[in-house]
Amino acid sequence: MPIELRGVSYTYAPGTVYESRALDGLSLRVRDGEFVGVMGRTGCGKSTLIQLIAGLLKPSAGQILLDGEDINDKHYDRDTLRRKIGVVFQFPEIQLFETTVARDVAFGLRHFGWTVEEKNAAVREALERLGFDYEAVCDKSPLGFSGGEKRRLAIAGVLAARPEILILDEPVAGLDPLGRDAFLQLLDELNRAGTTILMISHSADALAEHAQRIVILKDGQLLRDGPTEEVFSDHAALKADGIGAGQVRETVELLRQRGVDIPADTVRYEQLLSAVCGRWPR
Amino acid sequence: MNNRLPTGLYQPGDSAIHRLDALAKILCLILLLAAVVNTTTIPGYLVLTAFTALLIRLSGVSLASALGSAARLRWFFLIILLMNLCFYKPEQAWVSWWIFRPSAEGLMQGIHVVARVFLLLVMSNVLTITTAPLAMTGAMERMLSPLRFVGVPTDLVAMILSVAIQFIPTLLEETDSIRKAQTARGARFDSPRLLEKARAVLPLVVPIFLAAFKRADELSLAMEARGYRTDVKRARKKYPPLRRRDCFALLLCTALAAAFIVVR
Amino acid sequence: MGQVPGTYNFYQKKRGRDMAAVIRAEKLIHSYAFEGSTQRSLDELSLSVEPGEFLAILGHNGCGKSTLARHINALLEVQSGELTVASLDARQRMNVWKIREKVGMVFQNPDNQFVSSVIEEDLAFGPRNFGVPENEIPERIRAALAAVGMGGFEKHSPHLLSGGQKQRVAIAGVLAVNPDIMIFDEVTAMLDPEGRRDVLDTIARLHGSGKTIIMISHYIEEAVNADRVALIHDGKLLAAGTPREMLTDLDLLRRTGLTAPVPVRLYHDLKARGRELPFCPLTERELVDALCR
Repeated sequence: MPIELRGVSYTYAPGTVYESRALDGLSLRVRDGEFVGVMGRTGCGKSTLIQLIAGLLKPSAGQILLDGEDINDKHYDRDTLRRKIGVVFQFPEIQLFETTVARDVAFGLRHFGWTVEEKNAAVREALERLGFDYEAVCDKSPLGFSGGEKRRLAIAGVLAARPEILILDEPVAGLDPLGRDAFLQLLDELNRAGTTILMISHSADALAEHAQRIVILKDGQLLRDGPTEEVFSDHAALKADGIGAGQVRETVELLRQRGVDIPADTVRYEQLLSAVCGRWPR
Repeated sequence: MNNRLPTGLYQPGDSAIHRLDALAKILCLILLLAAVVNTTTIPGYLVLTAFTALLIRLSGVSLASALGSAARLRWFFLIILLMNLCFYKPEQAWVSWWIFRPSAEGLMQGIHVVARVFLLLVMSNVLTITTAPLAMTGAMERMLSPLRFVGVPTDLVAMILSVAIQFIPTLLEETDSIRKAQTARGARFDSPRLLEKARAVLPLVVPIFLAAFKRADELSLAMEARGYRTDVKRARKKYPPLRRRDCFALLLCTALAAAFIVVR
Repeated sequence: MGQVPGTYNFYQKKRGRDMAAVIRAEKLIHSYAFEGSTQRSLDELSLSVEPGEFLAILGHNGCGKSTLARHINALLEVQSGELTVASLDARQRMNVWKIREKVGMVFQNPDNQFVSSVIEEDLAFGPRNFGVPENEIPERIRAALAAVGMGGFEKHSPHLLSGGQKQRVAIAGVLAVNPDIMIFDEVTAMLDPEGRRDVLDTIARLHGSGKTIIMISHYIEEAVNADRVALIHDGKLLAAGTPREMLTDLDLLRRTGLTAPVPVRLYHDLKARGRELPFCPLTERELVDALCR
């Protein structure tokens, strides 16, 4: 059980006029190799959740366990946390700062005790994974690239550590459609290779295609947690909670309202296509 | 996170002090500082302390907020007092023990230093707490405006100040984001080892500078698109004239300053 | 079978009405130096915009759409080609400020558009720059905030608002100058779905009130309600026409670097499997209508 949250609460600015409860008694378990989509309206606690799991915030109550160990215990080795979990925040390109691409991508590897060869190999692998030609970019300044390229460099910097768990906060925000598709494909590959993925997203279509499980937060609490098809099948609930159901699910809902017999758990494009072909023969 | 970040010390309110014009308040503060600096007797300090207490009362602010930085310096004040007491005029000491020679003059000198700094701080606090940042920059712009006759571009300075101030919350939030992102990558900001702490500065400072420059770049584009130009004179901002209560406050402070300077 | 909804002959209109175009760009070229060679962000691009029209400009990141926008409000100098905006020749530097008064522009990052920590001070910035008399400004501020659905927020600080609210205040700041033409450069890219909806609704309302709207985006869903869509690629205008003409053509979309929305994909995939819908739908509702005929 890689990640486990037990009754976790978090309060911002306690005791001041700005106090607010971001998470309220949340319990969650993420299994090895899962691809979990995290959804919820702005302010529901999603960002707080991932910061807590990444050990960047300490819970006001409850425990967070990584492979059975409490990450906030004073004897817990923080380096293990940094090695096992990689975090891609929104607009990660702001974290670029080094003089060369190679150095920046290698930044996260300093405290692992790897040899120089191991580090170089990891940097090369990460950059190539993100579509860069290592020789062409390794000595360039990361700041001279375009916005989309900078984002890929920042993500390479996170992947270089080969994290077992990857947490992402709306990683494709602001990317154009081709960039989005390419990145989601990469996530698929990583997930198939065994990386556990936790991704915050507003796009039900993207999550339907890639995530096996959906978790929906509301006001700091777990609203829904289940397999993707199951969570997305309840259209009325999604709407009531202000969650966009995506183009595929919307189409299915409209068809169902017209009396077309199409199952509510049709959430992926290919499923929609087959269902439509089935109902409308040549 | 949209519900955080106060804009500095300012606490909105509707007290008599809040409603005074910002420029009048700044001028009053300067006059009161003149009074403070020219006080030489204990009764004098007591009068000014009572006056300051009255100001705090009128402003409706809590004592803790008004004392603010002054309260945090209390140990420093004590040390200064003791050092003046013991080392100021060793020739006129009451007693003598090792290197310590306390004297009446030393005590008085200590009181001068501590009381003056204390009063200065508290009075300034009352000003910043009761004056919105925007009103402050407006007042500063008005104070600087005579400089335009000697060629200083006061319009530009005022614009720079106003824009810089409104960026503070945004940049603070960005700093927090950067710190979190770098920590997640293994940067050690809280390390007790000095060398590591020093090395941790770069991953924080470089991105912040870059982010600030990028924002400045985008903002200047937006400003240009909205018609901002520095080559043509903009309409000078009209400020409301000083009202009766502002004049009363100014007169009062002038009287106090004059009294203390004369009486000495 | 029935009429394709919303057909409109672009070429017919072009011949007759070009003289009335409020924006006319002719073979614009914009070059810059990059790593020792010269690159073109605009490569002989020609485009015209009718008064009161809602034009969506789509293309992938780096195709030149923002560069084009910055020519229209004279933020960039015309290096080569012709450009007329609201009867003003953009090549004359003396027209720059008159053009900027007629063409307002809202940018992507809401945080980087404010000059003051109080909304009414920020909104007064534009009008003051163009010499609007002080006593008219409060009314302009009130009207602009009402038009974007943020009435009553004069004394608030923009930084405490949500992304969608901030962007709407930024729009109000531009509106307060009363421009005839408004350009929105990827204004929803950093917003959540709720904020995006609010901003798009605001833009639709502004179009309804008679403003010429140019919306730059890489989200096809935002272009569906435009009067016309222009597709830009590598600094060139690939094609321009109605949303139905442009966004249902898979080949065009692919060449522009965009992905087709689900209804369009489904139409073409169904066709490949021998099921022909009467027309190519652009939205989910149209798709369902087409299926259930």
